[in-house]
Amino acid sequence: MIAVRALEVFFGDRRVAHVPTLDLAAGELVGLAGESGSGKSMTSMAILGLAPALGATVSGSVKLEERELLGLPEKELLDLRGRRIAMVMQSPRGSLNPTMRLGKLMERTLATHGIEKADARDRTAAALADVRLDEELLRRYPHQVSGGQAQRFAIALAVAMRAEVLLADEPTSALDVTVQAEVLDTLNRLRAEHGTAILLVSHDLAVLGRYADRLVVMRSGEVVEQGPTRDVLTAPSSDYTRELVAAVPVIGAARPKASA
Amino acid sequence: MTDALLHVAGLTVRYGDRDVVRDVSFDVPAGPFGLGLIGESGAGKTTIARAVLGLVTPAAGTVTFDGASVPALRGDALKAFRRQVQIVAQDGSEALNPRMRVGASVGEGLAAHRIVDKRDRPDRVATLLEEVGLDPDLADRFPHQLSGGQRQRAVIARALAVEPKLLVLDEPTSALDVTVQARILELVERLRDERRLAYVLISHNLAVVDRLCEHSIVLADGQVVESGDTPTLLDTPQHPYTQRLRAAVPELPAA
Repeated sequence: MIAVRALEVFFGDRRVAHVPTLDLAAGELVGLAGESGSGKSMTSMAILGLAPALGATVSGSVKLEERELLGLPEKELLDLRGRRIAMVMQSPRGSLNPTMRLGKLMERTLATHGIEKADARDRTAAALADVRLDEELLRRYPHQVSGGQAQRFAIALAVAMRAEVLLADEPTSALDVTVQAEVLDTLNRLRAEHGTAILLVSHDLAVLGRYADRLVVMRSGEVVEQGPTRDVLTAPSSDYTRELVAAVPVIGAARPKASA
Repeated sequence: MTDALLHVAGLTVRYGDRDVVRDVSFDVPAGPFGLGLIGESGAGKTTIARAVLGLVTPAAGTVTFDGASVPALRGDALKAFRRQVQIVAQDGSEALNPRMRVGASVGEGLAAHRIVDKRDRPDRVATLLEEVGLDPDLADRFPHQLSGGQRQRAVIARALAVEPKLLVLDEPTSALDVTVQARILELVERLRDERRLAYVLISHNLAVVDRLCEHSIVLADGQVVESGDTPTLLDTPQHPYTQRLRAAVPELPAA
């Protein structure tokens, strides 16, 4: 679905992200892991075509199926973003216009991409059911919903648009752990039921461990390792991944073992 | 009356006509000891911390530190209390004056509480910085010149300067990268033994609580739903809320 090749993102002459290869297939959930400054968010911004707007220079190739995304005119990118590629950001309400009721927001988004009214209504109802949100929510403004509801609504927008690719950048970092589980379960269902290709950017290895098929680990702008999630987490090939895994606090790990 | 260092009984805190904390009780014995406050946003964890620090007046119940009622403290007794109970909050930069050099911030309490003579203060500050694993030369830097982990170490040094008996750790590592967090957790563990510290740790991270706290209480909507020794609580949670919380925590696959 998405094929990244020799992607480089520069700020001035400083390279902040370098991704030789990254593939994302339909129905696959790939985790992009790393700490602050690893370049993981800049990589996802570059894939979305948003990096140049932040002042970055991007080279290499990002293909959506056969279509090259890098260098596309902004107008075409805008159409692709939202219609075929959706995004969910960290700040739950950050991407929702605060002056618009959620229903209006959904309506506008669908209308912008040329979906007719009757069809839009059906899609909206189905999408909300998919993410387990009540239609009553459509009458509310963004500040009147919880963080978890806002994130699920952002996912519902992607479902309604029938987006094939979803980029989620730390979508649950601002949420409580029980709410986090609901949002991630929703994402997970999405790829199973709709075959959506999902790139999940997260600092949380345990979250990625639970949901990702494959992991890409970045540090200081470089990919240090990638592979099947279980392999990367249980038998890391790089020292950095090993250090990262060892640093994750685990319940029960620090306890004195009961004497045998 | 117990001989606990901190004794909280039937604590209720009201904002307007809403009880944000209701009938909460727990004890913290003299250190080394860690008590974990577990709960999600709005559970009342930080309000309890504020009551422990004497920053909010309870609507009902008691907060007793070293045998004295915290809300009733005045004058010298209040000053002594403020020395004995120190807070380390999530964002280290808030506790450090951005216009003051790190050494001056760390040494501020030494002057306020007349802990060492003025001429010995730079040496004491250097010792404190070393104790938390910082190069003493960092004393001359400003907070923005330090990394997040270094800033949090400096905040801990500042808290330790006045030789407290109790620390309130409010999400002390939540803003840090996981490898940096790991080193701060090691530091807290070491200090607790070396300094015989007692602390109340507020954290949304159950594994962090598990590592640092013998005893924990689980809060939901301002009330204690379950309490007990931490390993038992996390391995065999009894209350449905604790069970849900525990199940929601993703874990790394075993090697």
